[in-house]
Amino acid sequence: MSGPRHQDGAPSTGLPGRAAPSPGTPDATAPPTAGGGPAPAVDELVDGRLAATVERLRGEVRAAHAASEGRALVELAKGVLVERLGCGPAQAARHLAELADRAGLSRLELAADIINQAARDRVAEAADAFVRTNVAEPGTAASVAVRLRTAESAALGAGDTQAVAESLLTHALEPLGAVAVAIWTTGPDASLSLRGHAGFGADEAARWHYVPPGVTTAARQALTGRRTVWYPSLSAAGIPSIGRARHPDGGRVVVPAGTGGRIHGVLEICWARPLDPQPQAVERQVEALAELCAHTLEALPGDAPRAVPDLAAGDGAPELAALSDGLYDPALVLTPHLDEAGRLVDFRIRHVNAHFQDPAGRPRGSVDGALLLEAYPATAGGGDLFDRIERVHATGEPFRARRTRLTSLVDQVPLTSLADISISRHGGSVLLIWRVEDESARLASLLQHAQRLGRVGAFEEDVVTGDITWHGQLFELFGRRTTEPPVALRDLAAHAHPDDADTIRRFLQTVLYQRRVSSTAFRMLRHDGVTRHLRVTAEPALGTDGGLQAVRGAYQDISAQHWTEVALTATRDRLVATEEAAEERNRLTLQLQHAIMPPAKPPLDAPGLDVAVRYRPAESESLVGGDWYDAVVLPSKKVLLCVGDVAGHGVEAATGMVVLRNALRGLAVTGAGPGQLLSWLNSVAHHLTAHVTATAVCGVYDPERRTLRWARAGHLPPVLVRGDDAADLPLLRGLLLGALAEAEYEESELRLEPGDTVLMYTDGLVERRDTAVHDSVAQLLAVARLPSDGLERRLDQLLARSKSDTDDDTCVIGVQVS
Amino acid sequence: MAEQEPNLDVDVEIRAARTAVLSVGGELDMETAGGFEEHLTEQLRHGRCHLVLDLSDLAFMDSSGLNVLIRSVHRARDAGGDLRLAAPTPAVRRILEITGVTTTMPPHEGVAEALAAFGGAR
Repeated sequence: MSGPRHQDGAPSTGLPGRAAPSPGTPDATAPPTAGGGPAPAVDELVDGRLAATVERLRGEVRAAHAASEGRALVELAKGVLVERLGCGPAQAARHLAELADRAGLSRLELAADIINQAARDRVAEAADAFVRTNVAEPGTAASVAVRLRTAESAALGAGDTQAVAESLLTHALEPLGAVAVAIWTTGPDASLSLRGHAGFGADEAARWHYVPPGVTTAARQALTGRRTVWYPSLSAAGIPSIGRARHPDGGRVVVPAGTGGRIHGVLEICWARPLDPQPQAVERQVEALAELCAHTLEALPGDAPRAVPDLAAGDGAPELAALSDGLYDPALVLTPHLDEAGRLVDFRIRHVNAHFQDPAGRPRGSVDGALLLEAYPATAGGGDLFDRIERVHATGEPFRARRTRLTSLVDQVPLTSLADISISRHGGSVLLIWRVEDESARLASLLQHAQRLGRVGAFEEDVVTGDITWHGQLFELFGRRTTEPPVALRDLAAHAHPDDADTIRRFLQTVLYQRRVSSTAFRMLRHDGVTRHLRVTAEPALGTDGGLQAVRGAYQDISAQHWTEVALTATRDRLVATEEAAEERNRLTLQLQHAIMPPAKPPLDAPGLDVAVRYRPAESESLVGGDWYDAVVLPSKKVLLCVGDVAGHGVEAATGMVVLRNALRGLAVTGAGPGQLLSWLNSVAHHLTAHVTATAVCGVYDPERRTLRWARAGHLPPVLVRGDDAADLPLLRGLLLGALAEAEYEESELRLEPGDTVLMYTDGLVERRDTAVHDSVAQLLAVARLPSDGLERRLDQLLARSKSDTDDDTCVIGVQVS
Repeated sequence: MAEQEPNLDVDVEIRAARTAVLSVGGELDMETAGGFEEHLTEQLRHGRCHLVLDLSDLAFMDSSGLNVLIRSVHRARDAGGDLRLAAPTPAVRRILEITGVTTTMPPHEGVAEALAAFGGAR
């Protein structure tokens, strides 16, 4: 979320900057009007000040009536009519007079009404609400409008908060039946100071001049809750506050008074008797008045009891920046960012300290100076970090928490880490400090690593026009700025290691002249001196006349990890070996699949666990697809087991397979459980590879505890063979990969006994057109129950007796506890 | 084995300006998925984004078919509508369950129920 929540009474949009002349009213009970009179001396006695204020206000009422300001109000209203009706000033004056006559109002009242409509601020809203709900009494509406405008004018004109309080009570609150009012301001430590009061008496005010932080009073409820609180009776609520001794059963309302997302104080209104629920119109009037208070609190200089002049001293950001650089944890200095209407919509990152490290790995320059929600969109969701910052900024109450979940986006993949957080307000700025747990930091860097593994960037070259389109990631891959032109295929050799020039030349010849799909790997030398291993796969697109129109393809960064290097070597060998013979893309796919995933048993050094795998490609090469398996010992000595199936066939499916298999391996190194792994893998499938869905089952075996934790993503569950029985494991909750941006996967743990066998397989083993999956699985279980001479034989048996008729490729992985 | 005759029948019935029912019979697999997706694309292009798939005669569906369903439901929802599945056969229902698709696109008993689920949105 962003911005304050109006309905909760959080700080809201300000009053218009227009200094509206105040209306006076002709009737005798009308409140006086204040202009911008001189401030009374602060050190006068309270009574003396009251008398002075009343006298000053009276004088100004006379002045308004005498001519100038009343006329100015009418002039302003005429101006509104000129603009709205498109008429001349004389016509507007006639119109105003006619309207006033017809409505039975004085011209001054009507003028206030017209200005209210034009201004559309909270004062006007409150007056409108009153009109809607109190239609019975003609003339009341006008007097409410005039009364509120008068209070506004008096408050804005008053020289100090004490005068504001007195003015509010007289003009706006006594008509509502209230007997006393207090205006509190919040200190930087969330303490409350009584800045203005009326109706409580000087002694009681002196007793309540300061409320330390942490002491719960009625006003504090409004501050910490950031909302208006109505107490039908203070004693019934059991909450202390100023004047409770004199009016124990009286009603109270406390309203936060804020501007620009920050609460400057609290307006507290006291009634002598218990308070019935108030009509909405009254609630809105009260909130309009609180807003008025906020503006005066913001505008007035801090006076006597305030130790820290936190409002007057600018936003304090430079000092805070210097302080933050002395911290050993990452820290951000934030200042509020307001929209045109003065609403808090975001925070500006004013400073990133010396120890700052971006969770997404971006350079600090791209974060420093940015808006918080733009740099870290994820702060608005999940952990509600933005909410907390907003709250600290509003209330001044610091926030500290250990092990808070922080979410950041790494290449569009949300990464959650745990961190200790501290948020505090200093002057107008907010200091955010966090300490990421070591484990989380490690996960973050590993995930970035894993992201790089799956990094694929697509390109398209129009051979006729020479236009080249690059996926954004390619610029980064090539180390080029997005303002630089993309590198054409023909110029590729100029960017590659000289030893790879021949490889690239053969590749280009195949694609551009023989017009066949081809793939090669080469070392790219970037401007910045970095060498990357890239694989490029390209496919010619022919026009209807058989001529070459375009070349489409993708580059993949394959330099990130050792195992990729190994796969690369294999791929290169295979590709070189087949380049002469390759007739079609299908063979390339098959080679690719074999290179990445040799059909032979992987060397696996897992104590107490036998692992066997079988991969049977589809008989028809055009159907070779996206099945994969993986079995690898992780750094933790646990064993990752996985089979998966990317939907579709051909190069696209095989590429998707490579990405997912690579990503899963990288992710598994983090030590996360299979449910979390699949959740990440789902994000990878959804974001990084276009239109790819896949199913997978993933298990992590702990040899020490002999347990298998597993989860599934739209895939058939594993089969457990124990003794002479075989059963499929339950259908845990888990959507297939890539269907939704975010998905959660149920996890289950299975304790294995010596001799137990677990089988994971792709649907090539069971899929039959004429048989429901349920029956096919039943047949598979029947075969699995047959006695067999070891794990390898069992897998052979399963493949041999497989009833599949869809010629899909098939993967089976079997593990047996020895 | 791969050279089986494409075996998929699709009947389109337009029920309202933005609503169509597609009856799908036969086998929805990698052979037929492409053609089937064109049917759905055609409906979306004509602004019919409230789509019901009557699956009562669909005997078989593989991952390619499933992929079309998932892509199409996203596109229908992006267009302000939805794609609903009606009356899947036990075999197809089982596939939907295994792949978890029942949680994001719960199948309806019949076409009438699926249409009713659109409520006044048509």
